[in-house]
Amino acid sequence: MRPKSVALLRMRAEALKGHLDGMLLACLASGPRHGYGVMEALRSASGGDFDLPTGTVYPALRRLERAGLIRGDWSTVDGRRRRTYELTTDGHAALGEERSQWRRFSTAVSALLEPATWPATS
Amino acid sequence: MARDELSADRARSDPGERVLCAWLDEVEASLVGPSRWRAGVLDELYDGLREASTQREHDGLGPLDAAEGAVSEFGDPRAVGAGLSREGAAVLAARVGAGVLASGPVAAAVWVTAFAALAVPLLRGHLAGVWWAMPTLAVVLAVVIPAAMLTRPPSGLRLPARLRSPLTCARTAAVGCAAADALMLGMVGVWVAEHGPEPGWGLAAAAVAFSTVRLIIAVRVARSCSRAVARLLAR
Repeated sequence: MRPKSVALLRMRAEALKGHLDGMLLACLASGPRHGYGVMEALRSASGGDFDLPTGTVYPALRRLERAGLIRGDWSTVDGRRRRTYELTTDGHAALGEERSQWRRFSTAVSALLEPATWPATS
Repeated sequence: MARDELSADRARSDPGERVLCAWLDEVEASLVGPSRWRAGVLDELYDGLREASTQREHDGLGPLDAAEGAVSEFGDPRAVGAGLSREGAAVLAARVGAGVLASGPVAAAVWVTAFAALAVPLLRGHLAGVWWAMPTLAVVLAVVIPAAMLTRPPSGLRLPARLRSPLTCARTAAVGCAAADALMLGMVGVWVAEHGPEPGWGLAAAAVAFSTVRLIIAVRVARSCSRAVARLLAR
């Protein structure tokens, strides 16, 4: 039983990886956030299910910035430097695309996984 | 204020700050990337740690417990350093590639102008005397230019495993760039020794100065790329 659940966890982590960019973009859709703010937003919006590690979120933000989907700006808060990220025009477009792909994907998967509503034939 | 100055002040009196600094020092030790990029990443992580720590203090924890909680939430510093280093390596490689590609045409223009001013036989279609090394230069450039371009490989391009690392391509480009400059300087040095001062040496001196500076920078960059590759492979 244990190996099966480990395999399932790995599968979920892989599935999550494929949607990481979309989730990060979604966290920034409501407005600019700093790195830790993005981590918190992911955690709270998912009801604590997506508690992604720093080693995943911070590099992904830098990668999205290099891809031109988000823009990072420095400011000073409480005497220390803070990097705040916001979506670029390309980032808004990428998020829209990610959302529509997710809707198609989740509708198809739900149709397969949800219990059938029709009576079974003999 | 940057993390270094800010936390050094606080760490003297604040035990929580020392915990945060120790965690950041471990990240810093494993971080790969251009120096300003690394400093920015550490400032960003420091801000996140302070934020996490402050929230815990508002929840009633003492400064030391709050800092330890923040560090624990941020996880293993080596794993964080490794995750960020992949990105840092890409940034470093892209900058090296851009530098090589941008400085190449300038070097070519400066040298062609210098050759024209010196009226060297090369421009009249001969590879006379020391200029026999020119084909070697062409071979070096045939390696340098693709390597520099592959530091930012187009998405979807299928490459052999050895060329998939942008940092390895950046190192190759930097080494090749240094070799090209060394060849040009060597050739012009022999030309000077054989012919002595001639009219038009001012332009040649400018070309020599340009290539000397680029050679020094390319050697330093190649070394830092090698160190970065070694760090990434050591994990």
